[in-house]
Amino acid sequence: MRHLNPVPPFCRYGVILLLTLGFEQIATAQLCPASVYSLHWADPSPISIVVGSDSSPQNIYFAPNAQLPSICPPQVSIVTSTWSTDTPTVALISQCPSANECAVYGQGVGHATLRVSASSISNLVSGELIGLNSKDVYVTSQPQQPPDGCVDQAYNAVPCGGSCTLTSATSAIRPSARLMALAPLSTEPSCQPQSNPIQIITSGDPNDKVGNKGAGSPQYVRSGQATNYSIYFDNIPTATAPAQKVMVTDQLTSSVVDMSTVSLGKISFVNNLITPPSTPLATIGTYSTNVDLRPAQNLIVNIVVALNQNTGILTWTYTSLDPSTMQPTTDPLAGFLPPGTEGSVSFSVTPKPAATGTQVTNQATVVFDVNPPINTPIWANTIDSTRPVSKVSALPTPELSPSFSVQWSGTDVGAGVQDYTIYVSDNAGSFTAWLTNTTATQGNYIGSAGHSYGFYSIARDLVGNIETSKTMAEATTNVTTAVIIPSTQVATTASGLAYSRVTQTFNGTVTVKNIGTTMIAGPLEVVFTALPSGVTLANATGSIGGLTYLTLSSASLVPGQSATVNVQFQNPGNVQINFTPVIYSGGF
Amino acid sequence: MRQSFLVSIMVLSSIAAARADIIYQFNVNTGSISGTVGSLDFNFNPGPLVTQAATLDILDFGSDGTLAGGPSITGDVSGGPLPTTLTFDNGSAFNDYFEGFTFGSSLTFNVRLYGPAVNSPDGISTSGSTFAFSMFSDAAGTVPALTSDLTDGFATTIDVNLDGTATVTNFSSQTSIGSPVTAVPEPSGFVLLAAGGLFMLRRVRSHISGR
Repeated sequence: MRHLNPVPPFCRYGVILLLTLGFEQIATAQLCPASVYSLHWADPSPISIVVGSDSSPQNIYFAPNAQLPSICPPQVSIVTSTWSTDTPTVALISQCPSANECAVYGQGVGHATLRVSASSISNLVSGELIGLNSKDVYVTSQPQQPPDGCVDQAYNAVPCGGSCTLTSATSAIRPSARLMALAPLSTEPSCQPQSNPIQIITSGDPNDKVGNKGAGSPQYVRSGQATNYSIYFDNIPTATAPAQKVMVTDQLTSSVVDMSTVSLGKISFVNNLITPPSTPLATIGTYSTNVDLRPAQNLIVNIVVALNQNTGILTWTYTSLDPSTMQPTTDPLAGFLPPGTEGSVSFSVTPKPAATGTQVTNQATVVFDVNPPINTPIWANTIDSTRPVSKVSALPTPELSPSFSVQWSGTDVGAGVQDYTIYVSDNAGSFTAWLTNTTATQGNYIGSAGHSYGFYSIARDLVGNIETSKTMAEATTNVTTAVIIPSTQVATTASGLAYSRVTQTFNGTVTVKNIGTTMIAGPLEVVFTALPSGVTLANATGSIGGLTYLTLSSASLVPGQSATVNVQFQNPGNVQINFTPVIYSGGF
Repeated sequence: MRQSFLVSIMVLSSIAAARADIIYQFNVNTGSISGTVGSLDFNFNPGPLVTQAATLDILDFGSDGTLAGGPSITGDVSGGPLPTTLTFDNGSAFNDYFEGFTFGSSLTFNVRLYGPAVNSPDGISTSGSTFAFSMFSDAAGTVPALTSDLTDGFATTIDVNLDGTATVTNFSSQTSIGSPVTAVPEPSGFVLLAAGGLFMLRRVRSHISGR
């Protein structure tokens, strides 16, 4: 919710000082992470307090869904009340003594609607409305449930009158200060508010501004990427007058953004939506349109948008016009933005090329009628103009199996790596994408025996920067054509292992015998799988697929024939040496 | 009588599969390095595949050289120190006895191999065990002596094969290794003799009573 608070003319100047003080405080506030937390009343609603029980206050509780950071203390405030808050005689709200508890005192009969919220400072900051839930508190002569109707000061149900239209007990109060001014307090018991204008004009923060969410907490955006901004303004439901003229200004910095790229987005108020042309504003100059609200309302709303390229000030001006004169209306009750309604403007602009880490901030100002300007929160993005880098890890060569694992990794200055596209070349052919925009950092490639493969990776970061293109493989391998001889065709045995003090190795032999009925074509290799950790084959012919192997014989083995090879293990831990022999036929 | 005969045949059959212990006599002429302060090493280790249990003893160690004492022992080695009998089991990866030795003119000892891998091979194991004997001309055991195997430094190795036999490889021309001199009867052998005796006794009794 975003609120602006048009003040009736008779009291506008009287509250300028209060508004100014309040808004200055808001403008310097540190924002709480609004999307993370919410607050809810934990005790039943409504609260009923017996009159005169101020010595034993009624505690009210609200429960955070998550632990609130210390910078976001919860607050309870009065939204509406049948009593004056500048001279409280009925209900007092103490400072909340703990993170989820406040106390309410009853000193006389009456009714107030309380709101619980959390924000960076004592006033709620726009954009961080956290658990904005209301609760009714009734102070009565005895505990009771509130009637579903109007009540008088003694909390007795009375017929509703005047403009008081009720849908529930919580709307029993008529909060319109302007109506009160035009129709001074009467003795009519029903629904007459006992408030004064000061209470009404001091309610919440008036507006909000949002931009590109970006990546991560710095809200990274890509250099050269158009940034969209929306500015919202509300007339709070308890306001006493519609807004007649609203002016929204946004100061753009020419050194940071490209003025020629400013394009207008949708403009709205109440239920009206205007779509300006998408042509850059610098091309069309000033944009102007009229929105005829008749017959529902005898108004024409003139909207003018202008960009001063010298000063960088972008301005939207809503003006309520009298259709008969096409001049600003003089009717104090007329205005295009009634209480409880909202308007917004939006635009996009492209930041100029900048180094990673450059901050792009934007803040708008909203003016309602003759009220002081109100600054929106500052929306900040951080430029990420750095391309990510990535690399495919080296592969063992050759690979024993056509299906082998490929791994890659990447880094990025700024937003961070979002994903990778992995390219492969088969037998030195052209590179084609194997995996596209994958967040994985390894995959199982399925190739073919006897083929060679090359891989490289292209990373993309979270704001869309793409790694510089590549033409060369970062990792290459080939898949062997050798085949495993099944254990039904060969028997593998080994001698004991004699330890040599000279070489500090364990030495023996491995013998492979063809126990099948067909010849096994050479060369033959013994691959040593499942060697214990710390044990290595010291006299290995080579390695394949990350495993060491010995060439057993370059010749073939006829049935019944054996071949023996010396083995030499390093085993500094003197652990039990064992392995699972896998016999391959065909050269690696 | 027929039952006794069948029992005797069965016992005889089982005994036929059993093998005797294997004993080798080592005799090393160390005269060429007499007086050298060196060292001796004995180790007996299993293979890297499935290995059946085997045991090796170093017996009857004798020399006019001098043992340094304070041997370094690793793994399943018991008994000793030399010249007292040493017993090696192949239950762990590295079973070793190493001791400093000042060589004299000769060195003798016997090696006895026994245990399931020798006496009753299971036929399914895929690794044997190997005994290695080395002599060094330094106390640290790094300079091989009296051997042609200057790479590994082994003077002699004995492989226990999968069929219970043993294969000797001798790299030392100064070392003579005698063939097994004693086949020590095993417990099963005693059973055979007892069964045979029992069988003969019953035959004699039967013959006498038949008269």
